[in-house]
Amino acid sequence: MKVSAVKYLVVFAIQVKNLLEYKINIYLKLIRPIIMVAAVGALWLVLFKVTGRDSIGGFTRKSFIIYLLVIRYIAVFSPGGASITEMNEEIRTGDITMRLVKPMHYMVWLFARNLPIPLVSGIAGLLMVTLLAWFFGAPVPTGWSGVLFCLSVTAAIITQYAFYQGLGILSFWIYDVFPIERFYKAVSGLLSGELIPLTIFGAAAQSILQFLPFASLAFIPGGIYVGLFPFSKAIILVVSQFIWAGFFWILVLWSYNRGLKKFEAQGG
Amino acid sequence: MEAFFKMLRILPDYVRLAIRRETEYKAGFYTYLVHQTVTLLIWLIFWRAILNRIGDFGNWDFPLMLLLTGFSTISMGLWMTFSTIWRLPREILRGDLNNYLIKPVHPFVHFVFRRLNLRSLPRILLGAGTITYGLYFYKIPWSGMSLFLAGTISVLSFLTAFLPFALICLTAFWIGRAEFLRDLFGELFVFQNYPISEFPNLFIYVFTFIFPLIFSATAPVLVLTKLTVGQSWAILALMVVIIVIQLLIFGFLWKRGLRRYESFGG
Amino acid sequence: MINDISFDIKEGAFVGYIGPNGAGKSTTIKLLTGILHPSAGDIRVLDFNPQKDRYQYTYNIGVVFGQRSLLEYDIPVIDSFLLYRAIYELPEKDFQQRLTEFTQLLELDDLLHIPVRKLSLGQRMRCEIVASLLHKPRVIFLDEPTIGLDALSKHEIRNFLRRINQQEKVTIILTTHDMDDIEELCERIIFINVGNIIYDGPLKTLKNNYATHKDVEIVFDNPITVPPPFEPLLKSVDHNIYTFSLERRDTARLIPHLLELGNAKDVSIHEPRLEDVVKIIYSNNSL
Repeated sequence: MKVSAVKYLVVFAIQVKNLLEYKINIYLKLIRPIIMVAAVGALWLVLFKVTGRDSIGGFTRKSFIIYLLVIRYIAVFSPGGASITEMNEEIRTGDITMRLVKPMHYMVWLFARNLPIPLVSGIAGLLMVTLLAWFFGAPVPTGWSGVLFCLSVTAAIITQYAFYQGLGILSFWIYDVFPIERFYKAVSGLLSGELIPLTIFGAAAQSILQFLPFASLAFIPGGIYVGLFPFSKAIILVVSQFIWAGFFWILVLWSYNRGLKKFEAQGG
Repeated sequence: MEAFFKMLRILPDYVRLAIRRETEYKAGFYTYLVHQTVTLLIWLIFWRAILNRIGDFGNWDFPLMLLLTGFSTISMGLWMTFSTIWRLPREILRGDLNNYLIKPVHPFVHFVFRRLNLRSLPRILLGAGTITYGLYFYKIPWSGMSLFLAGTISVLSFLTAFLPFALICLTAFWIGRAEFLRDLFGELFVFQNYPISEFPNLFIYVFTFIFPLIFSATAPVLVLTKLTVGQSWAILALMVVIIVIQLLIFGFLWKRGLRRYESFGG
Repeated sequence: MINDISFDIKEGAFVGYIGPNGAGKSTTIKLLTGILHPSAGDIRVLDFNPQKDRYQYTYNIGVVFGQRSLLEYDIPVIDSFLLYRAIYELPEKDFQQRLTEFTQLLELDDLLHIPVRKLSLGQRMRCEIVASLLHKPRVIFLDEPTIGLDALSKHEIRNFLRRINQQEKVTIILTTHDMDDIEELCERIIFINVGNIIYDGPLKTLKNNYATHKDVEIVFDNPITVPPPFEPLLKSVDHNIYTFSLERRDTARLIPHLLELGNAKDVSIHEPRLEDVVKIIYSNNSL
């Protein structure tokens, strides 16, 4: 089969145009993490103040806030969030057939459609964080750590997207995936280090949790950014991230094909 | 007033509708129940992990955090039962209120009640269970009166949290795409899980008078465990005054907003 | 936007409210149902001011928006009906009686216990109409009720509406782009464009006034040669079927001459369809 990327680029370009029509979506994606960090960060600042400590779980006040900001913008980076609802809707109403009759791969089409907002707001957000970190004298990864951070973010986005697509694909078997999505978000919030850095759980728990796929979504890239890990350990963690990313994408593509077969067999 | 009494008369039908909806998606109900249980456990793990590392959080030890989580779960359960409010900006923007305006019901009441989310009700039981567990296993002293007052504040706290959020959603009448504001404002709900009394005064002020989330969990825990009966009644009285003011503001803005909607026709 | 619109409708009438897209049809319906407040002017329906007396007024009207649903999407149809029973405070006996009657007329027996999301458009629209009529409204507003429906569904819905109109003497105001709806159902048409009424009167008068030509179709047994005087009248030829477009006033006079052009086997005279009349009006944009 001849694979043409041009059509998907056109889909992408059209979405960019749509995006510019609703600039407010970009602003929301850009501002929302700040509000989220303000809400969660306030608790931590109060914790630092009440306990009179300089560092909790290997984080100072500054590095903690920067960590929170980084992981929020990485979450924004992932293009999948909206596509769960979209896939669920299209599969349960049968509208997906409208896509399937066109000469394109549905998953690639979804990706091209969903990419513009996270791309713009993710990059802008991370630049903003770096500026802030630099301004407040918090650690910023440079040199090889910088490269490692970029790789780690890439792996995080790929894995996160695989999770979102996986949730969307569940719609082939489950009518309403919303409760499962909520469940996933609650669990991943805790295990990814989004709610609290995994170092808070203690060394034993951290040593296991950091190699689970969830850690890839927040704790590893966030930790690398604020210099939580020695360089050699960071390399191992990033490699583990890519292994998980590969594993989940194989799983996603396999289940998509299974789901599609089921859908086609039942005629929607 | 007539609309209020009519709402009471129709209430069983709205509930029946909601039950019907849940029985259509039983799997969804059970998955959501698991989600709610896990969310509760996650908050408990969260506090356990933090307190293990730092010791007590000011005046708050783990048993109090357990109660805090229990009360915030109850409040969230009630709030989520009416979570359809989330859709208000979109319905205003798309002119969906038209369908409510052509019926002999109060449009807002009909909007909120026709999609009651009964899936969230088990959350209330989970919260109550957590509080019972905390009181029993950590032998926290309590009295019937303090439990009654804490429970009343907890149930009413649904309104103090719901009404400001509803007000934000109403801005759609004027600014159109209010989802933006709504989503930003929604992020603040996380504060109801925190012991707000340990925060700086500015936060206590904001979360008492502007967005009164302090009544969701912090106030009930303090009423149950620390405050005198007199102080507790004072908190309840303050809360009632705040609710009345919120209702007046909401009623006023709803009427103004609807008037505006009617001049555009949705 | 509408301006300077004024009309009265008699109780029990079936009125077609038509016009091109953006003419102000939906705006008028919203004004009449009390959703929209007029910036100027006065509206009275059934002695109510739809805006000021909305609460009481809505007990007396039924509204169907073709593009919006009155039914709860996720659950069986009957549950939405039960909710409306409560909202309109219908006595159980009246509700059951009406439901049974409508269920029979529209063959809804098998549909009542199916979730709305699983119904076809035609089935859903039949249910929507029932939902808006259960409380025995005195006036019904239908905003494009047949949009997107197949021929059979349209036919069933038209029959039902005609019956309700005749039996219950309920006033019906119908907006539609389907001129067959109008032709089959409405004795009176209000035609609006750019916010103004451009015609208000009987359907027949509209045709007489505006459709100046009739089509005469003659079937000959062999091909014929149309002599020059008749050539301008010839509209189309399909095998041995010749269609002439004749001015109304000349029709009776010219038909005998046309029949003599060959060995005529059959002849039929076609009244202009409202659809064609409307097309002419839209393109000329005046009456």
